[in-house]
Amino acid sequence: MIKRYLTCCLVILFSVANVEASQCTYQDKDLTDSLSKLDNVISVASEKQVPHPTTEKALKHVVIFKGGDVAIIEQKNCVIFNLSINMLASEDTSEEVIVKRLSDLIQVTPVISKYFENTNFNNDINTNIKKGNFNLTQNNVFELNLTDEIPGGNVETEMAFVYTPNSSMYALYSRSIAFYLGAGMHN
Amino acid sequence: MHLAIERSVGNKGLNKRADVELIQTLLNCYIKQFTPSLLLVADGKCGRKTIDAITIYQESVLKLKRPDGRVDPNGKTFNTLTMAYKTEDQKKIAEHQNRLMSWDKLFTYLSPKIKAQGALIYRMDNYIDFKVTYKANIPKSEQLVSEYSKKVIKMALKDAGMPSAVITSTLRSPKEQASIMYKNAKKDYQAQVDMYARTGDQVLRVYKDNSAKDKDTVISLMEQKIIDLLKTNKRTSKHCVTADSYKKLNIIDIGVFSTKSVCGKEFHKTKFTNALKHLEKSGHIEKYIDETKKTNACWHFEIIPNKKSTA
Repeated sequence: MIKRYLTCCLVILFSVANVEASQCTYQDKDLTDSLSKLDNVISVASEKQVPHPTTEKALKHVVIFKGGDVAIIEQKNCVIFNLSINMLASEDTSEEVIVKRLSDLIQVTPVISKYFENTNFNNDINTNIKKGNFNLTQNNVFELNLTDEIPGGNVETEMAFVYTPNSSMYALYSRSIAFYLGAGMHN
Repeated sequence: MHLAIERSVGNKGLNKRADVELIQTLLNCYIKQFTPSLLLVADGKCGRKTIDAITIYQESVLKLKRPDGRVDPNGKTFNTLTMAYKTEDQKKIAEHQNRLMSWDKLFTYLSPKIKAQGALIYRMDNYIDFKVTYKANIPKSEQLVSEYSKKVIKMALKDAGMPSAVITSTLRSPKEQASIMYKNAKKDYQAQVDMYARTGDQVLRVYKDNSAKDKDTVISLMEQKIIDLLKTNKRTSKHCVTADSYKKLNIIDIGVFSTKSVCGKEFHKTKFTNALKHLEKSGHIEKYIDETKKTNACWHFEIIPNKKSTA
């Protein structure tokens, strides 16, 4: 009797999970392995967030680099690709290293192989920072709208790069970088 | 001199006399190499023999698993048939069509390279048969698609063997965008959040924060948010741009269902999709997004007016 009950529960559970998965065009991907292999990564942790009634489900990875810099990668993929990366960098980390690390993180996510296979993010982000006469040591916030600057394959995209300095004497990190990439929206 | 057919030839084709005659001539050049005794009579009439010859050509040269016995303007079969000839050869075929050259003489000149493939040949001199119209609900003020862009759409129609296309979306004002988003959010807010990226989500948040207010007020607040975002170069939708920017980049949706209803039996979704992809490759279309399988069911593309020659 208990066996039958358990089997029934499992069948229902799998059906529900499958329905949820099949409703999504794009799936979140566990990036633990590929993130661990990146240069200077010393630790990767992940958490799958259960959706609240008003929020989408999300998969987060927290990456710690040698030297203590931290990156948080959030995937909210379903009807569209939603990729957010936040990086916290100390003042000892150079601009080149920050952009290189960010590009490496972007490169392992599923949206890249789908729509940005031939894009060199390291090169393109650096070019756009220079084009706007910005740098990653300046004291004020800047935002790059990369939507038209880094176009994806046959899909509607939205892309942004935001630099925020933190000059507080109590802050562990002097700068934060936010990167967002959405792809596959309706027009 | 470029060879071209105006309409489809062969099985269920429109079979215009001149088109049929050209296809028969081209097929004969091919048949002559293997079975000279079975040449078609180039009389411009499309019967069983011509259709069979097209089918055999598609099977043996194009290696099609399901040959349809039909040649569409600038379709794969036509492309392969004509690309086997250099411009000089094409001139000779045209002379033959105009009765200025005999079969024997023509054959001594021509030696088609059957495997030759290349870019599509487009001829822009006759588009009377093709129509690009706007959906009835698009106001005059938003009928801003340039003549160049219409020509490009006609190139795709010709390629696909379709007579008409219906533009279902062009420019969208912030107020219209806000109204659409309001209507959809009222139906299913979360579905809209899932569908939009960050910029769209900002506008949807205005809806959520003000949902207790009356409809007009909420739409007005959403419209203001869209305008504020536009000022920082953030677009809620690709269609939501100013008229000035629209003139520099035409953003167009061709509706699948609207186009299907005007084309009837001549509607070919896959062929039109492929034609648009070819035009993107050739640089006539800046960006093409296939949204035919999405709920809005359309071909979305962007064209920079007068970017390339369409002559």
